Amino acid sequence: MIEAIAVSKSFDDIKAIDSVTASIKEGSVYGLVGTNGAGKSTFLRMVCGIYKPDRGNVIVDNSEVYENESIKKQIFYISDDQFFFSNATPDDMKKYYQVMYDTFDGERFDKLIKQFELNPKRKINTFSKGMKKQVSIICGLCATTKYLLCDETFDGLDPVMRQAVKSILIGEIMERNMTPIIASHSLRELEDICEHVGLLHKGGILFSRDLDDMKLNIHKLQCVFASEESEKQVLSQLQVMHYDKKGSICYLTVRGELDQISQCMESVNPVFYESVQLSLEEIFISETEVLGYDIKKLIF
Amino acid sequence: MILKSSFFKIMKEEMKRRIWSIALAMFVLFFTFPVAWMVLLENARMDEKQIDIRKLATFYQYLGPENYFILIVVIVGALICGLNGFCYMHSKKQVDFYHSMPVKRERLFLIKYVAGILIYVVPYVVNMLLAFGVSAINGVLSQKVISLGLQMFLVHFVFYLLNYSIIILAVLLTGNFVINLLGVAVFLFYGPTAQILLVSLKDTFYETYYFNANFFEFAGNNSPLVVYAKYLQQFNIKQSMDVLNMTQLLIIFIVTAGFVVLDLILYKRFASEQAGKALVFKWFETIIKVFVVVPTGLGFALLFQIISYTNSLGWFVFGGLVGFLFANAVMEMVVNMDFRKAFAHRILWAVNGTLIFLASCIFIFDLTGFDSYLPKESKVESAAVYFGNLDNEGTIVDKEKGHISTEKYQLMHMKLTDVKPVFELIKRSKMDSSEYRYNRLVVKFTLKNGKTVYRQYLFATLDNQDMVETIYDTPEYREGSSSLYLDRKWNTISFRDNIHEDKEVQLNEQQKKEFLSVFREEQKAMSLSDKKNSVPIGYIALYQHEEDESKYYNTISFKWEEYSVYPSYSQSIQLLNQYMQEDLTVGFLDKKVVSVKAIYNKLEEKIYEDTSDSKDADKVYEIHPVEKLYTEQKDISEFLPNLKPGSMANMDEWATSLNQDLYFQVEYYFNDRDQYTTTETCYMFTENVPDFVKKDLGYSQQ
Repeated sequence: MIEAIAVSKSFDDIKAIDSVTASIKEGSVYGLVGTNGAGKSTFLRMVCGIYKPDRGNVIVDNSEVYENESIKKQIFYISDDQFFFSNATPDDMKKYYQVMYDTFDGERFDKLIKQFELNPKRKINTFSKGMKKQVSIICGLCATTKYLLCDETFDGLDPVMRQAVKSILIGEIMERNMTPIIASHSLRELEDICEHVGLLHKGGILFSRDLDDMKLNIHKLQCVFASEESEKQVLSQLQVMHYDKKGSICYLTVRGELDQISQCMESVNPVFYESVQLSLEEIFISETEVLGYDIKKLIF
Repeated sequence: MILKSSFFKIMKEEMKRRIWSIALAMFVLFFTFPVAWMVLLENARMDEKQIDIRKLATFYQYLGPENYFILIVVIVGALICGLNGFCYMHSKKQVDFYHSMPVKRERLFLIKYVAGILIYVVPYVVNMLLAFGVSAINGVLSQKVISLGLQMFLVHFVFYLLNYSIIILAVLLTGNFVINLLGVAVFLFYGPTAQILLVSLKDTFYETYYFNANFFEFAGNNSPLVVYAKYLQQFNIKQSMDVLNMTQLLIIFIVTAGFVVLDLILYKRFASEQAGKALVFKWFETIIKVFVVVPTGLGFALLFQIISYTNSLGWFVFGGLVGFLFANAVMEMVVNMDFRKAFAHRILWAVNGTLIFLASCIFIFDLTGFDSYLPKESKVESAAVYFGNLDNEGTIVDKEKGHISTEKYQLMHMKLTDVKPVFELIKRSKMDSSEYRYNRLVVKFTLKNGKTVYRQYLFATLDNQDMVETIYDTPEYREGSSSLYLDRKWNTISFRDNIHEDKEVQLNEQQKKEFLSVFREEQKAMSLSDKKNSVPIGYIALYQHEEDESKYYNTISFKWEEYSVYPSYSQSIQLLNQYMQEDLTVGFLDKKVVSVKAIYNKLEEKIYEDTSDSKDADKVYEIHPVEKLYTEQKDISEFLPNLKPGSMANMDEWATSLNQDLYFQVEYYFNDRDQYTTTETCYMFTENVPDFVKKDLGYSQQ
């Protein structure tokens, strides 16, 4: 488990992380969302031991991570702009990582490189940006570390590659309980892979929630009421987070259990109603509006 | 075991990344060792089979401490390895990469540090062995060559470590390549540069400041480069094959270890987020700014004053202001990496300005009382003096320092215990005098507490002759002003004058003892006034001429210095005649003289019209030579007994009474075959000039 306890980090006068407390359980995919400059990369660098927090602690598996070799052996960090040795080939990088990480699986590396149709003997500095990302992801996967930190890793990948990587990640999680932590500014990127999401804004965590829990407790309803009185009755009985009406159709985002909501709706005999799947973005919008933030200003 | 094996694996990866620097080291050292040795040995060949032993000296010079080229190779190597190993810290990408790896900082530092050593050591050893092979092929591989080669390897290695560790320190304190280079320049050259500045300021503003040191003496030990060069230089003087001063090397090693520890501490404290910044540690910023700006301001001030025609204080102030503004602005721009920050940190600007101002005042107004300071007579243990141009015997060979000036030698060795005359002379030097001729007096006081105080003064020459004679005519002055009184190894004596060119003879122990005893006594017996009214008949030199395996010149002819032989040294001359089996007093004037031209540099007053309203006009004197040629032997015979060759005398006005306005060019046959003549310029004491000459030339005392 990764725990950040009241962690702060400043760069000269800029407070990048301000007293953040977060907990990342093993075996789940954690998505770290935030705008540019929110502190995602800084947070990840503290988790993998590159930065030392100014205040607070970052604890991984009950030990401080900074300058802790044995803990760092369980973490692989994929930067948004990964470094490769000049004139190095994927094979060269494989050999280097094999020395650094005892658990590095060379055979799997060769297999994945082939699968992704990359030339292991070709110089990485001749690869495109997307191909370089692929190499860094393959290195990360083959290190077979317990934690895989990805900083805007999926940017630059084409949709096919993105799907392929996601399915590999899911496979890894199921097979060996790997815990990926994925930082991104795009909710759509994280939607179908993350189980737990934290929203970082101006160095602080706005909220950190289980996605399933969020989805279970927030529902979107499309309905047509028979009368205005029944509409008012429903609005007063349910915890409505968001209300919109177009013509006679009402769009409600409601917090609560589905059974209770259904019961309430049926009691007013609407002309029509149905529950619609919420996207991650819609859930976030609702949650952050409650907190007083306009999500559109936070995440594009 | 696991840790050890992973250390070597990581080291192997590190070396893979730095393969280009290994290749470069191999390339450079290949030409530095086996190729260079091959060329030198080839040049020393007489023919296909034999090597000229005398020419091997050049080979040994190259092999030994006189080879400063290898010093440059070592320093450049340390620079490349230091920068290359740690420059990853300039790049955020690379810092993210390396510092995310599961390797502790200490281990990463050790790996990179050791890699930099291996990159230097392995190519050095390989090429040194190849060079030994070359010398074996040429038949000169001996225990001497191997020993010297291995010793120099150790010396160069120790100094490589020192400079390498200090260069790494510069890299750790600064965050990008250009600033790295500036930081390295500061560490290597700041000390000597600051010393030059301090000496220059004292020399400019303190009238009594005395400075006479070679670069190595005044540079001190505040630069690793200087320490390195100084170490080598001490063995250059000795021309020794034994170049290991283990005490010094051990000290260097301990100091290096200290720097390595400092490097490690800074490396561990390096915050990854500082990658790419000009200065990594905030605390270092203020220190470096002050240490750069203040000397730069003072340096500019001095420079403008020196280059100005008037040498005025106004230029000093102007230069100081320019230097202060320039240095401050540049430092701020460099540190902040932003042109618009040139005038940031106003408080520090004020601090720097104040420091420059205060330092300037200290020198300009002599706030420390440097010029007025004299130690109390009761606190002085001994004094050494040097009178400018008085005993100018050329250079003296000191065992430790090699060839040094007479001035330096006297100040090092003389110990006058009666210091009253010295203080009196200093007191007189501060008084005004109407005399236009001044001479330099340098004084070194050795105090009872061990400290030394140096000062120099100008004193009116003629007004103070009595005091100079009082000091000069003491045994302590004599013994301290000439190396004749030291016990040194010599076995050969040579004599030279106008006709004898280094006629030499080897003496046995008894002869040496006898001659030295007589010569010293006669020299001491000669007073200053006697000396002024006499001219040496020639010079002797004492040689050490022997086979010495410990030197890289197998045979050594080490000439100490020359000593004047005056006509009054009758017993010494007698002994010399006996040793050399010749009458050495027979000089060129005993040869057949063809003619004597007398030349009188007559001074004539010339008045320049002053175009101003002032009634007084400037008076200047011009020399108008008057000549007269004498070819009649009866006239020539009047000259000959009193002519003194100018090449034998110290012609400084201060040291001789010879008339310098009237001189003679003597033409004579320099061999007995009356074939070719040569000319010698000679002088006379005024009272010896024949009346007819005075009349012919219209001579009058000027």
